[in-house]
Amino acid sequence: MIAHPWLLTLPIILPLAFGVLMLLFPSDWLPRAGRHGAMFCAATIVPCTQWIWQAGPIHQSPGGWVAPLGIDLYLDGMACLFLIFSAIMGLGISFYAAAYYPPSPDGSRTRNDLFWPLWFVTWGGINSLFLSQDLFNIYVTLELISISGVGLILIAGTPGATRAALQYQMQALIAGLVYLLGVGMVYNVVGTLDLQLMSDQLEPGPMINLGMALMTAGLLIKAALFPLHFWLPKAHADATAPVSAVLSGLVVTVAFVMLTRIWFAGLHRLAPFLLPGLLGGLGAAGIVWGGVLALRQHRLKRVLAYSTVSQIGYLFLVFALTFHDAPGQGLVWTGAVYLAISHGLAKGAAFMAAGYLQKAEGSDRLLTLKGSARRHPVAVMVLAVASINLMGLPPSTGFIGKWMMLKASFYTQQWGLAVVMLGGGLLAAAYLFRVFELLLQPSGPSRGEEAGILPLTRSQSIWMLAPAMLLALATLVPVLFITLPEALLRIGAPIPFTTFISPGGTP
Amino acid sequence: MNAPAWLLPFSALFPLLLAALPAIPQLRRHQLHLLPLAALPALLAGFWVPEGATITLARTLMESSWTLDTTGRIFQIFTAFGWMMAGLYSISYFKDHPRKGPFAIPFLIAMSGNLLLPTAADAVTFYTGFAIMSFASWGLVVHSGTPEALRAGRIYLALVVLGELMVFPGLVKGTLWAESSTLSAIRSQWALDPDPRFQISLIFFGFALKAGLFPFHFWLPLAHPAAPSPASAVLSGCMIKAGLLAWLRLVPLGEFSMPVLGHSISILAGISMMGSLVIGLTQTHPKALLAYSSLGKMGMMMLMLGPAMVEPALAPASIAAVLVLATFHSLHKSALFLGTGLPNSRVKLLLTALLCASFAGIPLLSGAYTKPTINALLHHSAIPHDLPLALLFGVSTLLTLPLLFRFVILSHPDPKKQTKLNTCTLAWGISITAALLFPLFAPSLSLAVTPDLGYQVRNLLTPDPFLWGGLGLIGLWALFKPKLPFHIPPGDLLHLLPRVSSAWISRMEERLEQAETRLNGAPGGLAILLITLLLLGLMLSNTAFYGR
Amino acid sequence: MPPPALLYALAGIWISVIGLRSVLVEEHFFRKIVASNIFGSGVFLVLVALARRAPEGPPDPVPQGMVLTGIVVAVSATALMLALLGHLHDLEKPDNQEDPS
Repeated sequence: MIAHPWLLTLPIILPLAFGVLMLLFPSDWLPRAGRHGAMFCAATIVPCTQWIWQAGPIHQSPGGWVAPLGIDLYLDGMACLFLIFSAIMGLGISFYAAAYYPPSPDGSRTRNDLFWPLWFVTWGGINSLFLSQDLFNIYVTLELISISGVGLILIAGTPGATRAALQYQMQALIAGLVYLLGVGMVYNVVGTLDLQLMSDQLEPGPMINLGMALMTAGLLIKAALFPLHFWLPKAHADATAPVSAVLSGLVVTVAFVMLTRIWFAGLHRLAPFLLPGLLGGLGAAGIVWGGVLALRQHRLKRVLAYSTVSQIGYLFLVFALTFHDAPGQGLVWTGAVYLAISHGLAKGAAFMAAGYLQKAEGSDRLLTLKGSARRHPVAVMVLAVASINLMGLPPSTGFIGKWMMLKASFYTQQWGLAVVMLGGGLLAAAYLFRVFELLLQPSGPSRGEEAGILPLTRSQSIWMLAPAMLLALATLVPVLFITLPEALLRIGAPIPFTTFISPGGTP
Repeated sequence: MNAPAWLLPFSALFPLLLAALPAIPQLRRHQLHLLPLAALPALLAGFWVPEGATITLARTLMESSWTLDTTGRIFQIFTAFGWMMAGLYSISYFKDHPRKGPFAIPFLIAMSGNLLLPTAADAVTFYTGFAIMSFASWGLVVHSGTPEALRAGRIYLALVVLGELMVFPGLVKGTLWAESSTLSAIRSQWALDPDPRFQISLIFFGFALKAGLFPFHFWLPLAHPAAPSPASAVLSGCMIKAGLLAWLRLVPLGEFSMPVLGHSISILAGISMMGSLVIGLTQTHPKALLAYSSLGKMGMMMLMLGPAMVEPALAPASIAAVLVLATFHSLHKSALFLGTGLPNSRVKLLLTALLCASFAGIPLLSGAYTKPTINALLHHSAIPHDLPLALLFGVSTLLTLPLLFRFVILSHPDPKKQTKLNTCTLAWGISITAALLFPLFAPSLSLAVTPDLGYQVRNLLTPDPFLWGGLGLIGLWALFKPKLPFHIPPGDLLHLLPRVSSAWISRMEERLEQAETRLNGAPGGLAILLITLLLLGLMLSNTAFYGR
Repeated sequence: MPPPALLYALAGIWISVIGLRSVLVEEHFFRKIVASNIFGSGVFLVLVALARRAPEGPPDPVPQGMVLTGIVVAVSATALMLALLGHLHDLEKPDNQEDPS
């Protein structure tokens, strides 16, 4: 069986093409065009999944240019799972945004119209990154995502958002250059940019270690790992809600995924002792730092943004836990993938609900939102389901991830990390219930009407809340069909693992 | 007639479906009226699903499975019944009391979690139900939105999270070496574990928070009274028993001896029982008093389990006694708490007094029928001699009577008030009837209760000295009306806790916030530099190490 | 690496360190933007120097391609940041004050 030569380019080219199309469409077409475009883009995962399910991981070299000269695309189980994740997020965000940015009444172009081209380009970039097998291609797509991200943040149009966008662009540029310098050094030694080829001839040496260190540093800035997270809360909180969902739900995951790819391609062989400790330690510090600061915020979106800082920390614990050659490697790695995906979905849904409340009540200040549970029960329900994930409570996917990582930390006897993981849950409960306490209070009249905020139309509320609810509920689905994602993850997995389906089974 | 096994998971799913009703705006108004129906599938399952029925969802996370055994059936029936009555009660209650925060949704979600517990056969399903129940009932505690309720909610939440933090690693550790994650597999693997004390303690004390074991009990007298009456009824009648069920499921009772754990639990439970009865006597709020009485009874149940941990041979007798007592207490406490939301008419006073008399164990009433089972445990030949169980139980009887007497006189009758016929009184009436008829249907639930009238009559002739002592105390009180020399506010220990001053915490948080602001400026850049240099150094030092 | 390339590489590293230092330490954003360009130039110089992997023959085209792409990214990012800075300047005129929180 031979895959169609364009199979793997579909998830990349289609969103990019739609991005260009969206620039051409008149303003009042955009919401509908966006929804349809999203469905087309999301549909591309169907043939990919089908292929990988039947025939295993697949390499493709678009245009017939093979590595080392060309740029290879590679689809394994992990990439496929993340593609499915980006498709679900993409569908949810597009449908939500179509209701969030209604076309202007007179059909004139507004700043909101820029969302569509930028968002589709971001989506294409993210898909391309998940499929990337080439160090330099990773750089290009990371920059693509960053620059369109800056544009997305600017849609809010406030001075705060503009300043955040500036800072975002600056850190992205620096991070990109640092990463690029590292790529140059690695290339100088191994003579290839292909991850697989590089992995085969990676030997520790001053130049290669220097290069790898620079690459890691660049990715850490992009991933906003504590203490390099300072640009994140402003950017994520000051952007409009669909953009916050894109940035906090999808984009932060990307740098982490790339780092795991590079990690398993050989980084872990270069620095087996100190690097895992550093990454895990920063992760642990980030969990606490983000959690405590989330407790102090006065705006719902700020709380969620700091929660992202905290959750990113969880992901980086994976490096500390895999470093032991314990049998739990597969366990902890799957746990981190689950955590990344569940956090993305949950944070996306939470920002969507926050955006809804912000529109309906006129502000996302917690004091303004007091008592809104009676006025907007569904939005608060979305927030509640998402919170289950963020706290790592059952029956969410976040809980499965946490369970696996905790188990692995017991295997490797890293009690400190176990304590941090549990403490992070405590902090998450504290900052989220602080929000719910206000939302659930006996309500006064909605302040939205006083402030002259137009009430949302019926169809607008439904189209905003339905995608948010579906994203939130999607985090509960893997609990019911856990065997599917696990089977997918095993296809072409970078490390050997035996069973981890049953938590009782020894891994 | 046998019901299918899928009714077991469905009984937890159904309340969740009802909780999702507001998503359809046309049905939003009807949600409150559907509350009593929510527990119906669970009740049907409890009565008609045959014992031993099992259902497993193979593709789910940990192969979720449900099974119905005797213990599960008993818990399922009294839990479903309690929730049903509270749901029925809510309809009229919230018509008369203007609703404050949202009620129906947290009520239904907590119900769903609670109904997942009795039949859950694997650790993850059980833990899921427990967590859903605990977190959702926070919504019930803070419902009124008053500062006291919010404070109670915060304290409740802190303890719930603390409990989760103990249970979660305990369970993960428990499944570490077990072949599967079913509760029975975890129970049997304890015996293989070289040193299971740590995990068992984590699990025991994690669940003990829910049951209000000293010294983790102080949230309960704050939280149970803060909730609206129907919610207090399920908190004290149904949810408080979840911890008990968890022990029966997870702690290896009757498998091997755990003297240290068993003794420490007995001591803590003894303190819990005696302390809460004494503190309860000084309460001025009727619901807080009832909450302390619940603490006392839960202490008693834990006191029955403690010796069984020391002496495995005691396990059957002690489990039988605990099951009887749990059902009995659930029925009575639900009815008592439902009563607190009704106007203080004479009819109410009379019925409440009768209920209290039954609860305190006055002969011929249903409480007296639980005595033989408890005595069977107390006079068991294997009871450790260093535990003066019989004496402790006697003193408990002695103190329970004045405690409940005080509860009755705290609700001053108001002749102007009438007991109206609405769903509140209906639910209250059914609950009282069920509580008073307990000995008649208890044997059909496989509870170790014999409705032996002869025994009761003999009991009346040769009464318990402690009971007489209790009545004597009431008499003395009625005669002299002494002022209590002290008043302990609800939440007792909480007031003794050193104030880890909130000022200090907020100062620390402020410092962190300042550091965060500073990170945004030049130091943020320096952080980049530092981390990069650190990475470079690490990687290069590794080469120096390995390159040669 | 042949000596001239080594010299270029060391010079590049020196330039990029100067640039990075200013990006990180400078308070004003305009200076940061200029500094980021200096940093970029240093990085590109190192990359170009690394392209000569053997003393003889033509240099490796791949790092040069990387440099070209990097320059494109850096130029566009600089343009974007400058435009944003001007925009921000307009937004933050005294009559346009954002609310302080």
